[in-house]
Amino acid sequence: MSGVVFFFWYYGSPKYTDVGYQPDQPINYSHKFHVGTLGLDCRYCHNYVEESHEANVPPTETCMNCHNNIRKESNELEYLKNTYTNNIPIEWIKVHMLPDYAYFNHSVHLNAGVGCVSCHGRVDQMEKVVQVEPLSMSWCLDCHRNPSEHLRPVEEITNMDWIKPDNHNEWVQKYKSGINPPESCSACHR
Amino acid sequence: MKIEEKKYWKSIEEVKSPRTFKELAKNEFSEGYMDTSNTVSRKKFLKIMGASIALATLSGCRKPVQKIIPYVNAADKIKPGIPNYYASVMPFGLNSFGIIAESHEGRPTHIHGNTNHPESLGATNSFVQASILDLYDPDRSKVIKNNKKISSWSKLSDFLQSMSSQKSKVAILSKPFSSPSLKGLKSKLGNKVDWYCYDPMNDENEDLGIEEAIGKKCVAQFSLDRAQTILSIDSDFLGTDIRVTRNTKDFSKKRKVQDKKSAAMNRLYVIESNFSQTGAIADHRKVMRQSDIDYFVSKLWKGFLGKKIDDKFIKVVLSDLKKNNGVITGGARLSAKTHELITRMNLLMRSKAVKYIEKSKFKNSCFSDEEKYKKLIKKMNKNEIDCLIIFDSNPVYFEKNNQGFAKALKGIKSSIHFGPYFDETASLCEWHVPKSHYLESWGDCQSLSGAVSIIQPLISPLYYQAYSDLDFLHLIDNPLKYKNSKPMDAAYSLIKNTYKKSWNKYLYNGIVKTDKHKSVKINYSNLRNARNLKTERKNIDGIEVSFYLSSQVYDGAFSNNAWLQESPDSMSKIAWDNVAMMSDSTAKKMGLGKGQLLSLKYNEKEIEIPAWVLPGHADGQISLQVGYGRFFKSSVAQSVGKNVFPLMNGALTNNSIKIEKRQSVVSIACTQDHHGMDTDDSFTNNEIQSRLHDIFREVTLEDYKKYGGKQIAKITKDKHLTKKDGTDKTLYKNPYSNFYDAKAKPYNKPYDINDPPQWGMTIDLNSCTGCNACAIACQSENNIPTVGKDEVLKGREMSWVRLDRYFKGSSDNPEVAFQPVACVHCENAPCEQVCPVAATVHDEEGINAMVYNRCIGTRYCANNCPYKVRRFNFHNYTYDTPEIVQMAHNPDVTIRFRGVMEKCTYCIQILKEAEQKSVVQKKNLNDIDFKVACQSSCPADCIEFGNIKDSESEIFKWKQNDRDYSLLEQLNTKPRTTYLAKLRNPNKELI
Repeated sequence: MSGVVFFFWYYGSPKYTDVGYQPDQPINYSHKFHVGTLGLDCRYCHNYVEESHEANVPPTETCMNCHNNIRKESNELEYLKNTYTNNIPIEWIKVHMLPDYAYFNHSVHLNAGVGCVSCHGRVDQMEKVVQVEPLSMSWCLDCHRNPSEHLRPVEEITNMDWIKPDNHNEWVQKYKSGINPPESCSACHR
Repeated sequence: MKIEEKKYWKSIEEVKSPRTFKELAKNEFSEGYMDTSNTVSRKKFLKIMGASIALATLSGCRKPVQKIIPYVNAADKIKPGIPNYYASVMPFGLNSFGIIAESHEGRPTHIHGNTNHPESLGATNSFVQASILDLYDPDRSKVIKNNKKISSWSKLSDFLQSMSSQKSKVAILSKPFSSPSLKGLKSKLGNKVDWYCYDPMNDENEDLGIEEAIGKKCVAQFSLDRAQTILSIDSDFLGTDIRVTRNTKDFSKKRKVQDKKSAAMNRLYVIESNFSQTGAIADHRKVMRQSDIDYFVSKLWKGFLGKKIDDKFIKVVLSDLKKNNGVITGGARLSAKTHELITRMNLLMRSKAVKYIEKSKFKNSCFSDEEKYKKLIKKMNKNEIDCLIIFDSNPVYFEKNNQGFAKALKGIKSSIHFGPYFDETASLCEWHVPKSHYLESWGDCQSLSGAVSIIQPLISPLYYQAYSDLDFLHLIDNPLKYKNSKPMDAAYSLIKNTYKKSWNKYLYNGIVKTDKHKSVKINYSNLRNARNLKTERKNIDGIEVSFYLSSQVYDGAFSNNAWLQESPDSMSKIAWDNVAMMSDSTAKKMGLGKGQLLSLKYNEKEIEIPAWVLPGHADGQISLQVGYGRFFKSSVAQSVGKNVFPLMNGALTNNSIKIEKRQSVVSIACTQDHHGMDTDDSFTNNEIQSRLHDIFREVTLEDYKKYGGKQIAKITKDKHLTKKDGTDKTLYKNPYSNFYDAKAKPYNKPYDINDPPQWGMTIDLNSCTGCNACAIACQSENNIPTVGKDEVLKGREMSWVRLDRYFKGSSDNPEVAFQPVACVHCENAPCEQVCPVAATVHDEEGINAMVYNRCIGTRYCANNCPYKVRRFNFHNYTYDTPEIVQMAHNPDVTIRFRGVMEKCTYCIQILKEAEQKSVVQKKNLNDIDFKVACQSSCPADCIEFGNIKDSESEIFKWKQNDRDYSLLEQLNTKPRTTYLAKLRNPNKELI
């Protein structure tokens, strides 16, 4: 009996089922290269993330801003160029999935000083995007109950290798007074 | 004690046969509420379950793949996840309502009122709210048809070209409209075609009467906020009038009472035959048959001139009108003579609340002309017309008795129908062109108050062959030039050219300019001499049958709209039907039971329609709503109710209809006894009624001025809460008493800006007209499904806002009270205490949250809710929602599945958005502008919502009003939604 309980408690949890999800995308877009090596800011493509609840996936146009001029002849860009000229939207596979009844808002978190890295991991080191956190309700609540660990100055939200300074705790104590992460059901479920 | 105990009741059964009613009321849920058999059989259920278990097991092994599909080229101004708002205007006959449409990623989902527009003033009505569903109506016509076969725009152009080269005689028949561009094209077409305009429910009698009195063709325009005394004679200006939103705004302005010192109100007298919404809010109401009303007005006129009359009511009303800025309004069913007298009286009183504006000033309007319409039919019969173009009208459906339009149409050489549906008229026409919805077309409108606005499309036509009215008229004007034009092309270039001066400003404001029409010059000297005055009372032995517009489907224009069909009629509380309304004594005299079929026969045309007793209806009369009984292929409108147009002769009242009783009885979906707060079988009937007094509270204005709100509060305190020695009578200690001071209202606590906001609502019962706008706004904002007649019969309607309608006093002429009830968000909520899975819980902002994904459907919460505001998804009502209708859904609200409880959430998506905005924009929450759906839609401004702890807020002030009371206060639930007691303003001399 306890074996069965353990089986579901462990293998049924998002920690086991969801972490590590790494689907193939229609284009082998490398965040590692674009963000890590070239140093593009997250908000170049996900440009409404600070205003909207969605971190929008960019329109093909955004890719073409650069690739109209850069590596025009590359075979890897064949699919991109084809879909762009034929006006076909690219069907990206969603990696970080929340259930439909959970309403997550990116903009509030970013404006409160929660960095991208806290939920998405080191995307700048990912060749292919992979889910690193369980994104389960208890995982959300862990942070909502004790956000200090994950807060940072708003200017640093997209900085992937930001390291907490020594006076982080003092800073958080001062900064935190305006931040009251909600813990009730109605915060996300409606 | 000045406030006498008055008895309230909801249905005629309750007063007339309390025993049967008790039997009914004993069951909290109506018959069939628990029944699931007829939709899904057990065998089918097992089959489905078996299959889905197998599927679930298999699909459980793999993660479902979801896709993100971004744009190829970013759409201008669209930020994914953030709605855009665009100003536009909804045409409504001669009037139009300014709107702000909310659009999510390019699809309009909700409509708000436009504060700039004088016919909206920031509010809407149920028609405007529901029009969004019409946009996504899958029954809308999609293709151009020729002899019922698919055709094309260019072929139509060829046809029109051949018509004009053969010099054929072309006529156009339209309904009334008011639009600068349409009128411009109409006059451009002037020499090529004859234009006819006709509305079956027209108010041409009023026009004739006014012309007779003034000597010029004029239109009466009311500004009810300038009147202190209003006498409505059969005029439903708060119900189905085309200026309903503005009228309600103006009227309710005079019904706002802050405190006893400054308390003042207007007074409304109503004379009518059937119970209208206007009659329901009246301070004095007199019931009489339609034919007696004309006689009444002639007596009123006599009294007005100072002649001796023996009617006390008339004397009192007249002196009140003359003394206190009076005005008289008249309805469409009155005779021309009566309207003439009304006009004369208004002018002689020098009433400030009405202007008579020359018709010629309405340059952009096309008025209905019945005489010309009759000539058109004659011409058609004589083959004097080769091609009839029916321009967004449906004369085959609204054909009155012996009008002969359909026959004439069949005989005509060729005909074109242009309209949103392939309807009754379209099926008899050679050609059919689909008309696009106003949210997908360019155009312009001028409202009755003179505001010119641009109709701005929110979305390109969903059906690519749907053209706008301007596109279509352009093609008629010049078939060659517009042969290859696409929908919106012609209309856009015309509108853009007309308004290019400050194009962006016009579009942004939703208004171009407002023409202030001046009143016509009046010759006062002759006004006292009314000629040909008939003062005898018409004696009619039989039963009169009278016709009026429906507050749900209007004249049939909205009959394919499920939201409107399912919103119960304000007075009768009947959904999905029209019935023969009559008084109790008439029904008794004829020996009719509830829902018993009547056969009404007039000149070979016969319909069978169920009888229904409506308290306060005139004796010897039957009233029928038009707009039902549509007979074209449609998923909603078809076979709902009966088409009563064939029973009409010219006028809106018919005295020569043969009435016969039938034996069969049909069931009518009437919601008046559903979800009652009064259904505890341990109470005797009398006890129920005395408890109801606590639910609905009212005093007269005079008593309120004398005693203030103390009397209102005392009603419960005396009976339920306090013992004679002053101690608290409740059994239970308030569990939150440590958190809140149980005696003081929670909002009296000082407000700290860092505290979470405490949401609350107050509803002013004094100005509620029971119009259903809030209920439909809620339906649109919160993705509430409609369930259909069969389910409503079982008491399973899903609407979160229930508009309770109570009668009071005698059943011959009762007073009425409206009370909108949605979840009141108790601080000490009974539903939360019984939920086994904590699916309904409180949050730190005082909201009684409903967590759909946790709900397992035990329905304990609904059983324990004393307000009966919880709605249960007995079936998967959204399962077969067509894809196109899904586009109307609000993406910020979950679609609820079968087996889930739902209820008002105070529009939590709007609150959360406001809170999140305040974080993102680094603003104080007080500075974020937002309104919940019901509040924003209410034309009477009777709903206020906000942070009750913020002493600066409007809601704080409302809650301090001494008329403020809680529903069922004795249960100690401490609801966050409270009510302001109703005040009535009766004339002392008439009590």
